[in-house]
Amino acid sequence: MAAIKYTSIILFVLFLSACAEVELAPRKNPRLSAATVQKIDPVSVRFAAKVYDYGTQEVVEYGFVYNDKPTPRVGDGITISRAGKPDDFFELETAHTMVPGRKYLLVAFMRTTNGITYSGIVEFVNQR
Amino acid sequence: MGKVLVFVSPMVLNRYFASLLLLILLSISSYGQDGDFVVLPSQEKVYGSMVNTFDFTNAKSVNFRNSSDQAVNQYMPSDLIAFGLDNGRYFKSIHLPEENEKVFVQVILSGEKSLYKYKKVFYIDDDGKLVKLNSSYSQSLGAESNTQRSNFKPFVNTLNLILAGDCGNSLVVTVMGAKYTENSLAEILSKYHECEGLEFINHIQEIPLVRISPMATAGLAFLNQDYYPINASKVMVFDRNSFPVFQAGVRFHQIRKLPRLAFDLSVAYMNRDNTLNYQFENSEGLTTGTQVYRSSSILVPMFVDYQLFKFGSVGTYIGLGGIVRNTSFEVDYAIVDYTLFFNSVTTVTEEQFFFNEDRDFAPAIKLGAHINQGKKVGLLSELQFDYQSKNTVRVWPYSDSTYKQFTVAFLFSIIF
Repeated sequence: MAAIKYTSIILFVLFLSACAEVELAPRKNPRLSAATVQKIDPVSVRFAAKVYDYGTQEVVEYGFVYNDKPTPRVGDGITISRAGKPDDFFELETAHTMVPGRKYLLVAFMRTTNGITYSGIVEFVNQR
Repeated sequence: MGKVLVFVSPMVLNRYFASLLLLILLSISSYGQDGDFVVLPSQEKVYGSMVNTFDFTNAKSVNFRNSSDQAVNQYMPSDLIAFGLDNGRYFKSIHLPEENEKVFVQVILSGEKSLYKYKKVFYIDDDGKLVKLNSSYSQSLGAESNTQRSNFKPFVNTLNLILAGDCGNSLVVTVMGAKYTENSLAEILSKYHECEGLEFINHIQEIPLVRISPMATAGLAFLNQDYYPINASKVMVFDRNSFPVFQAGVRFHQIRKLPRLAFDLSVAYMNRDNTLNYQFENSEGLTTGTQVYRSSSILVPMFVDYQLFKFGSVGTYIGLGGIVRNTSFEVDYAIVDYTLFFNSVTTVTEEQFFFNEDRDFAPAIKLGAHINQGKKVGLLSELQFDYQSKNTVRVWPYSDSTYKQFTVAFLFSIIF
């Protein structure tokens, strides 16, 4: 009887000691997919991206940046943007001066009150 | 993502299972089988259950719970004529020539010439006359420079004398090849009684060499996957930490020569579809990630169990072994955000960062109780721990990290 009581107590302690609490800070930034080229012709181009999550910060601007140099960023590339918060799928179209046959790098972005979030970089070649 | 519980989540479940286990273990302490019996000096046969005794070979006393009034009495050999166990084993209280007092001997065969065993020595009760069968031994013969070793089996001559007669003569060749074991001696005496047309009971014939029992198991596994030693700056939080487990297997137990040992071999299935949220922070930036994945595992748990205590028909045991795991792992969605503090720029990449080993072996240990042990249908209640050390988290821009997985499974099995 004593042995079974001790066994029970050990098992009970093992179970309760297995509990632990971990805090995960709330993620603030939005999440968006890589941009895609929806349409490109000699004079205009249309890019698109999906929003997975808006985060906790207010979104004030969204759009795309492309460049023929590594790591396109706002201020270091051609930016197409619109003010406000986008739908969960957004696309923007603009006139372009891209050189036919040249490789370009493209990102989508969302600017919040706290910073700017870029999607992963995709490459495309202007075939026109 | 907010405050979450990891490992055993929610805690209520954890306490529920702990309480359940506690209740089961405490309640079974008063639970016993009624297939055992004692024969009192008055020739009265009383049924009940043997308590707190595992192996009755060489037992100096037995504790017996009477099924009618639940009273537990301790009986010395002088207090009983005999006692029997539910599994067919039968013990008799007799006075051996070498012993000052009566002892409990195991009755291997009952008949005109009964076979007893006490402390690895066999005796034949030849119609009331007790004859010791001396075991085999080897001896050196000749001078030191030219020695030979010969094996002697003095019990063979004793057996031939005891069985002398027509039937004994027909068994001479069998007796010459006899071994000093329960089976061999019981076989010879069985043949003798059959030849003479005498009634006899072979008590060990009913006890199998090993019992092979199929079992079906269901349970809940609680997973803790984290870095060890735990790194406060790296946090992994899973949406789910408990998963149902289903398994089927066989248990090799009640091994006649190794009654405390058992072997388990099972095949199990566990689905572990889950979402992982990851966070790593240092002075330069913050990395967060989310991965939604589908994972299912075929597990092969194998254990060697050692029986610790026996309470009536409940045996408690500890098992050592391991689990071979074959896992399929598919990612539905994986994304990593890396935010640099100095410019508040976040880069989002869609890439898998949590990886799982396809095949691995996890050492494991378990504690269990076999309820209704020895009966046709029983229940196993087990608490099983296993430890897996080789999985990987790979988050850009940092190098690979290894995380450990510690699993606690609470399992219930029906065993046939």
